[in-house]
Amino acid sequence: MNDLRDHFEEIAGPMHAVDSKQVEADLTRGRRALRRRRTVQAVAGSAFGVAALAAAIAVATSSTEAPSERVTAGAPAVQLVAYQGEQPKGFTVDKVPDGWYIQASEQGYLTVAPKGAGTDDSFVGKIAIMLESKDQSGPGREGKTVKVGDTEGLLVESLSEPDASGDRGSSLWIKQPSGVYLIVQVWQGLGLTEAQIVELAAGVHVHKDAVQGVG
Amino acid sequence: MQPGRNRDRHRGVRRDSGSGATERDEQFHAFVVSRRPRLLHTATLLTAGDTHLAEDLVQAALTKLYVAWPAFKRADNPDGYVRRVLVNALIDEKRRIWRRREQTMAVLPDVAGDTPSGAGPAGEAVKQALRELPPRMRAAVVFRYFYDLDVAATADALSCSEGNVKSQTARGLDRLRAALHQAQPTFLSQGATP
Repeated sequence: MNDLRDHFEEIAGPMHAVDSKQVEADLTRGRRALRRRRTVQAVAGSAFGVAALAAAIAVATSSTEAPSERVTAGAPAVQLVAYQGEQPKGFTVDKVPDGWYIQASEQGYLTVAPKGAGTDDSFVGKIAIMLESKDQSGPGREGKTVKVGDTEGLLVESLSEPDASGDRGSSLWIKQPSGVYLIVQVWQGLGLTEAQIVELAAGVHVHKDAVQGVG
Repeated sequence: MQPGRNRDRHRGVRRDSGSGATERDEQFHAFVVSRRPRLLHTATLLTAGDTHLAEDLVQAALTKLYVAWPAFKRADNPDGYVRRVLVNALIDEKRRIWRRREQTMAVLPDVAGDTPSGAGPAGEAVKQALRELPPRMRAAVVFRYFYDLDVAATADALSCSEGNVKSQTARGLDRLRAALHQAQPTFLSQGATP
């Protein structure tokens, strides 16, 4: 078998008949995403759009919160505090949102998550800190230049188009002395203000153990 | 559709009432039943044989399609629309970064069951080379070389210029052929009889 096309056939494998449970699950995911999107659109369009959206998201992402802990109109949804726990290896952090914790710490990335965040591999609803991939070469899109500590960073939307739930997310790219960018990716709807994203990023330190991923 | 019900329609899809099956549900259901196997097949190639990630891509693409169903139904080229959604899911930065997490280790995890039987060393070499291509280049190769899409349709799927498609496809194929070429001696020495 020498032809590339044959190898592609092997890689793709056979086509399997669709399972009715899969179809129902696809439908359920779609309907759930549509409901989320309509909720966000409805809240965003209200007179108190911005503040109410932050409050709604805070409630949605932390359903176990006591009412008194919910964000109030006009106040940031989260407060940054000095990180007191054990520092990760590849990166260290000075500040994290109050009550959040470092969920995963590897040489290639770390995630900062609120209490109750899932332990799956997703970055949904979390802050992810990493170096750019070896296959990347900078932000690759327009953004807003911001002052991050003693250096500059570029704040860009993570996605050029919103995903199924209407989320674009934010990524702050900061060029390191090595020429490789540090990325602080913040899932939209976490309640962090732009200034807080910058403040958090200014407290991220990249160590020699940190490695770039690929892909 | 009964006469007089058109007021309930919005851009070709009946408004969802929030409960019960809607026209969108019915159309989406039929679409998934007929197209899901093919979508998964394409996604498996786009992910270079990573069946788990392929399933993830298909789920993300189908969710996006459901949400944007009216736009999909209005699309001049529905197949092209689906390809764009699938490619966007592939190159989605969050998803790409999510994927990186599994690839930062020195040795890739065993992907037993990921490889159809009989692929052999040459097949493995091609798959590994395909996996190492940047996502856009991989998609360009898959659409142009395997699915025989023309340059314009591939450029539409990748949301890039036709020139970019040509260069990406050429470079991708070069890398794959080089990998295949390098694997041949190994393949022969491991069992082929002169």
